[in-house]
Amino acid sequence: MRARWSLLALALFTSTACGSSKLRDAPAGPAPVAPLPPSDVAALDALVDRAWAEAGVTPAPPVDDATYLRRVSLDLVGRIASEDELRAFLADASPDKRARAVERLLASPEHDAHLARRWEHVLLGPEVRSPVVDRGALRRWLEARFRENAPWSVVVRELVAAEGRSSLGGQLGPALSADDPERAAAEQREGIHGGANYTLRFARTPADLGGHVARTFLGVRIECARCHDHKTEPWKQDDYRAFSSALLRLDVDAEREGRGMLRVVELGPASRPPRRMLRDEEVSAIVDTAPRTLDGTPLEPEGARAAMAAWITSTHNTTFRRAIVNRVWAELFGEGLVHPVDDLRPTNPAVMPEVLDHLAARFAASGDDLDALYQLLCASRAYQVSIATGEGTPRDQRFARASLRPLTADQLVDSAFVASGLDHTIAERAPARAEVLEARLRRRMGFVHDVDAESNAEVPQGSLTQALSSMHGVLTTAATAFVKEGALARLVRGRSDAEAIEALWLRTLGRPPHADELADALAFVAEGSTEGAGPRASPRPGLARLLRSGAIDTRERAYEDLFWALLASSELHFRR
Amino acid sequence: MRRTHVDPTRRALLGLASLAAASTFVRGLAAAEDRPAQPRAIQRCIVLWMNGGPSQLETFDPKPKSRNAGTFRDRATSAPGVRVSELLPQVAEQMHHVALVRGLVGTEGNHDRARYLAHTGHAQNPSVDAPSLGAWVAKRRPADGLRLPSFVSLGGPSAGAGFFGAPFDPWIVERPGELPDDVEPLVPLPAQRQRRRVDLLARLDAGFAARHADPAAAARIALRDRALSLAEAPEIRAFELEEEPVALRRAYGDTTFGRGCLVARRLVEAGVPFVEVTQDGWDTHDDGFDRTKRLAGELDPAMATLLADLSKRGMLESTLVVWMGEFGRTPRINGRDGRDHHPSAFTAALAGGGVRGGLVHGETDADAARVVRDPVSVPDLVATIAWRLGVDPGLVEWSPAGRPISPAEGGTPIRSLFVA
Repeated sequence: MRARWSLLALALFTSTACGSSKLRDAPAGPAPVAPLPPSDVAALDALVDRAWAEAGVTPAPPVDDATYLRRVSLDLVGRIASEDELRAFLADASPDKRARAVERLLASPEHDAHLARRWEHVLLGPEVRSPVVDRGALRRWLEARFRENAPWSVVVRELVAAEGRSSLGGQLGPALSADDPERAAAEQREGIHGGANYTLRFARTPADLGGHVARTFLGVRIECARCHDHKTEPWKQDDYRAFSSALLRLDVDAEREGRGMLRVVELGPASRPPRRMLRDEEVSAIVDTAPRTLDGTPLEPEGARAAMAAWITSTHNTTFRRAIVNRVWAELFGEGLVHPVDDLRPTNPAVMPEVLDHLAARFAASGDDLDALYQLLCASRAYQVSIATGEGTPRDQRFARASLRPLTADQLVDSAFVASGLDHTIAERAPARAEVLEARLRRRMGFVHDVDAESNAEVPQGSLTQALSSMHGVLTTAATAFVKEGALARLVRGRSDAEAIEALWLRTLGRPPHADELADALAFVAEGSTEGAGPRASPRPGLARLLRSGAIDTRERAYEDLFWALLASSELHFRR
Repeated sequence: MRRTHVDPTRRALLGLASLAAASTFVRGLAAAEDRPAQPRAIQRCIVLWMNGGPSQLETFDPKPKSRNAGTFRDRATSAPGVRVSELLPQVAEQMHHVALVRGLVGTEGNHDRARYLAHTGHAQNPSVDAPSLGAWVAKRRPADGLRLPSFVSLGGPSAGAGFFGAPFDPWIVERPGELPDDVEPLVPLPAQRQRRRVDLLARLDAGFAARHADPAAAARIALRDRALSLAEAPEIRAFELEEEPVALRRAYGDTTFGRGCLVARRLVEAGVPFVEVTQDGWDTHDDGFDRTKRLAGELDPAMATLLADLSKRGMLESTLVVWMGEFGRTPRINGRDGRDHHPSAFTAALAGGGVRGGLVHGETDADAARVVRDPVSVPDLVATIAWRLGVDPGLVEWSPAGRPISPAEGGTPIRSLFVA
């Protein structure tokens, strides 16, 4: 409770100018993203059009500009657009502004951070906490790879065959922020390979590693055959062991550290895993199986790990490319062409298989360029169809319509910061505390356990906890307090009611108010809000006085209530 | 709002009608037809969830003579012939209330999948997001006029409502013993002003729902309504412990789990039909004996006091208490003084709710490695709890993809655990 109040005090005493997200501006100029050849988009659209015609579905009309910007902002940088970004976008009259918005977002460091966070989640699950896993180092390593737009095949090869030191060590604690430039620089200087932490996730459960690698990067569920063969499954236990066997040819050298400290671990090549791991019967059975790839090519035990990583990512491995293309599709469209994303077996076919083939081929031709893939998909007609209701999910209708999607916990936290207008000011005034606040909010939205979990499940969405937080939480309370030089006061000052109301709508819902909403809001503000009669419980008189300093009139109070209703509104919690 | 009561026969008929449509559920059909006389369904359930997978050897299936016995001995209990680990001396005194299922056989050795199986009665399957048992109860057996959610999870996430949707999800409360976060405004407003802003919010949401005829919008709005009404609900005070005598609080234990158990009792007393309390940390691969001892030290007073407290209040007969985790642990002790995952033989403990106290169902071999008598599958156990709570295991709900889903896939209730 005390923490809740001190964060509120912090938020109140920081004034803010509404607008651009300075929070994560890059130290160096970001790599520009080149425009996409129009023929690429046309080719994809033609394939999808044909699939729609064959299925007899009519695409929903395209979304308007504001909705498009909201979508790409949530999908590419994990938060809604700021008021300034949205105003600039709406004012831009050029025909290619959607494409340029995507290029701008893809080039921003926020995109790299967003991808790194997503992949940290996929690679480590939401739950892994272990003294040998440095989550922050993995995230920073991923972020650096995404910043240089390294080909996906290179990223995965370096992840799967990572060698070197995993961490700088230090206090074990929540990996708060990837935006810790000092630590990132030190890791670079010391030659830390943050990617090693993916392998180390399986330090206590080495037999799980192979199954996770196959499922995550190839969409192949060989782990089904882990305990015994199944008649109907193509993969046998021997395949599982032979694949896993290659990945366990490594040396793990951990420095001894005290309790509560991160362990520094050195991964190196070896022909056999450490003896300690072999005490587990399953691991020794795996290592006793000669390593071989899933297409049956035998690998020498010496260097098998690197050889397997090279095989997984080799240019001939189309499954590798289909798997990532399908994953990115799922990120943008809500579901994969193949569902679930990590099960690409032949008996689980894609909808629009020709689209998946086409995208995988394009991805290979681009040199496994993730940004180019995002760019192409965001430009496609299918991405821009609006929400409509229908049977089943959009996937059942070949993605000819979209549906409302609840924001993920991360999107919700980051968007709430932007909507509140408190994001970068808190970061400027007291970055350390902003991280604490952010971490607390993230934790509350999700849930963390202490097991060696193998879980890629997203946290449950739309929880009661989230609904309560949006109404009564720290962010909403701080943002909606009309204090001198506060976010709300600055937003309203010097504006007519119609202008101020529009600004509130842009900032929260990412669109101008509809006519009926504007009329309602104007009447609401004109009427004004009075404190009304009745006793008022005040658990913390000091802060309550601050929040209710005498200067507030009924109009200003009405703005507090209006902003509160917008931040709590259900629409804010969805991607439309 | 008055809920129409569905009598058991009608429910069975409804179940039959949907079963007839689903030929795969023939087994369930047969079970529904020759239903024996059964005890009246009970209204409340408390699940004590041992997250990570508790060792059966250090809890309810000790094997002192095995070479894998580990550090601890066993001890006699208040139930003749039933022995438990010496780590549970207070629970031992309550064993006359408890029936043990020692022959649980799981199919999953991975936390996530096993947790899903134990909560939903279904193996994880990409094409269906199955509802957990708490969600079935929330949907089919909600309490009349209760303003709290029908499914509350204390100290852990439990498992969600799957395709039933957000209204049947558990309310996850991290720190039992205090009012859940953000139930009340940080700075309370006078009633009149609060009403004015809430009315505005309702108008915004109504417009949103009208523009998007999507069930997700309606569900979120209903959730927000419920969130708003929580602060006014008198039952919300069940989360706080100030009213409880200090001695009783001390007896439960001043730990997250101890407070969780006491709050669970207060919640079922207030009418919440399904409460889960998590004790995290049972994934004891390393330092297993030290860690298990510490965990048992928190579990023992909390669980024992819960059973005694429910019994004293005359609530035990109508409240089913279930102790379990996602799997057991290997009899073999690994090189780090720990035990690893062992789904093929483990134990669940059931108490109250008409259970035959002192009963032991099933048996494992000399090592607690394999089940040698009366194996019970995890779906069987889920079906047992569902059945006892009046959620017919033969019920069918249709998933969005058109698959018939029942509360436990292929599970048959173990009726013999209960007094007829």
